Amino acid sequence: MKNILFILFSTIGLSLSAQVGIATPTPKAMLDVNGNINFRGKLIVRNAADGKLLEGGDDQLLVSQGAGLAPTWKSLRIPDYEANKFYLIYNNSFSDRVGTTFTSSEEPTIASRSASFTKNSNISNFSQFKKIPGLSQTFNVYSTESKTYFQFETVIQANFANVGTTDTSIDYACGIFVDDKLVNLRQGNLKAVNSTNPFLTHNQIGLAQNLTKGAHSVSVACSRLKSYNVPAGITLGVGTNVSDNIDSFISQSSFKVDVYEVPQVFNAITN
Amino acid sequence: MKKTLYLCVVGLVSVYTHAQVGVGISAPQATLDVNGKTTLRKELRMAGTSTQVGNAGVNGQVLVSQGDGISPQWKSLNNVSFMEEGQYKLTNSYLSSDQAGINSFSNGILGDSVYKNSVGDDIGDSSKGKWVKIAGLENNFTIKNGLNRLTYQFQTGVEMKSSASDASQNVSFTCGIFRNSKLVAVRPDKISSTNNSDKNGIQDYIFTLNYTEPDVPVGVHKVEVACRKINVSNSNAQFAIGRTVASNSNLSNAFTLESAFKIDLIEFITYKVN
Repeated sequence: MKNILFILFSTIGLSLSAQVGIATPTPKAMLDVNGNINFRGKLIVRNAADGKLLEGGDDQLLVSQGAGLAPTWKSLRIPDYEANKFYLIYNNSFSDRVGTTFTSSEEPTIASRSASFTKNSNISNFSQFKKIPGLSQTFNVYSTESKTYFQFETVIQANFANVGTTDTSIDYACGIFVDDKLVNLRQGNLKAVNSTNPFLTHNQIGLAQNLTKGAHSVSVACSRLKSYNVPAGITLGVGTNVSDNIDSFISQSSFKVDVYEVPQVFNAITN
Repeated sequence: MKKTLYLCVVGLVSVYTHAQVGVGISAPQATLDVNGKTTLRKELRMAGTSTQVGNAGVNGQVLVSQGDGISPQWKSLNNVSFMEEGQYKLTNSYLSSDQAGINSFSNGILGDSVYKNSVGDDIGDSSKGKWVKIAGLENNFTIKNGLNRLTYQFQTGVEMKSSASDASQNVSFTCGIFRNSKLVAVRPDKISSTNNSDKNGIQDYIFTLNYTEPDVPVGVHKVEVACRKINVSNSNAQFAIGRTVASNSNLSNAFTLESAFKIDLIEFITYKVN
């Protein structure tokens, strides 16, 4: 019998429109094998959409497409893991249209910015820094070896008049805080120009390394540091417009958090 | 073992054998032993019986071995998605930061007056500008797939101090990305101080570069960041990138002016063979 089928299948070629049962008299499919199948070559699947044959690549998995369709070879959307390399494990992004504003009386008194603006300093040390409401968020770190990347962008505006003989400007700063501790701070200066109500786009990138495993809170807080030749009644807006030459959509803030890790947690993926 | 081939009518004609069957092999080692490629044009069903058709799985389930003697099962994955043919996938990211910056651009140093650059300019060719590296941002990595995108993102604080606090002075500068010492990305920018003497001529500024380079060749790559001073309105102005100028009245520090550099490598995914 082995020889008969071997001859049939290999030398003549066998094309059956019938159902074939191997070790069963009542096949329930076109080929019904009541036992083990040994594949010595590739298992090829036909893609119904374009009729192409897929042989699968290294590490691809056979994925069901349900009844009536051949399964298909797919790769998991997980990194090709290599030891000691960083992979994007967590990312999220947020936006805020509320922003915050500062009057001239809301400027901190800072004796030395270089001494005050230091890494890991607690937000309680930053008087007159105000958080942008929608950007206070939480994120998770799953590995003791990680690099966290923050990107914050907003629009800074002041309702300045046109520039005069002596420049008018405001120094401001925005800090990114993790668990209320400073991880990045950038300063900027908004100058009066040859038109009223000037604005600028502030883009800020910060990195934090090896945060502890677990949940963390992150927030962005900004401050009006000091005004130069600024008359009374001028308001500084961060992430919000202080004049109707722009609107709250143009001036909104966005904030992106990416956590890159050397993976240490490997979950079972099937259930 | 019966060695009989049945041909009988079950709606259609059925073929039945009770022996081990070899296809392309004379000594089968399993009930069905296929010595060649096998093509599935329809579903693959598992664990059927003589009365019950096997389980074809539901869309997205994967075939998981149950070990010796038991048929594999279609199982669902927890919160893991699949790559689709023809997508770009984030392979690796490289992040670095630096607080040493560049302090060799300060007062007394003229700009190089080079306003143009081309892809491939060598970092050592002074006719293409007097580039100075930011040492802490060097990254070395290997690319394995020639269909890729390298996305560079670089940000640094920039500081200047005009030579006269009541004069607005400016410095134009540029920062670029060098891969294997050849220029692949560059952006120019300018920092201007105010003429308000209360500010002591000090100005802080943020420089950001975003750039994508397609189809970087397979192999080992060294990626570095370098900047240069193009022009200065007064050569006595102090100027520094990624660090403070020499006398900045404690208005900033290396932390607020630090440089950050991120490289994302994304690769094209394809599996089709014909």
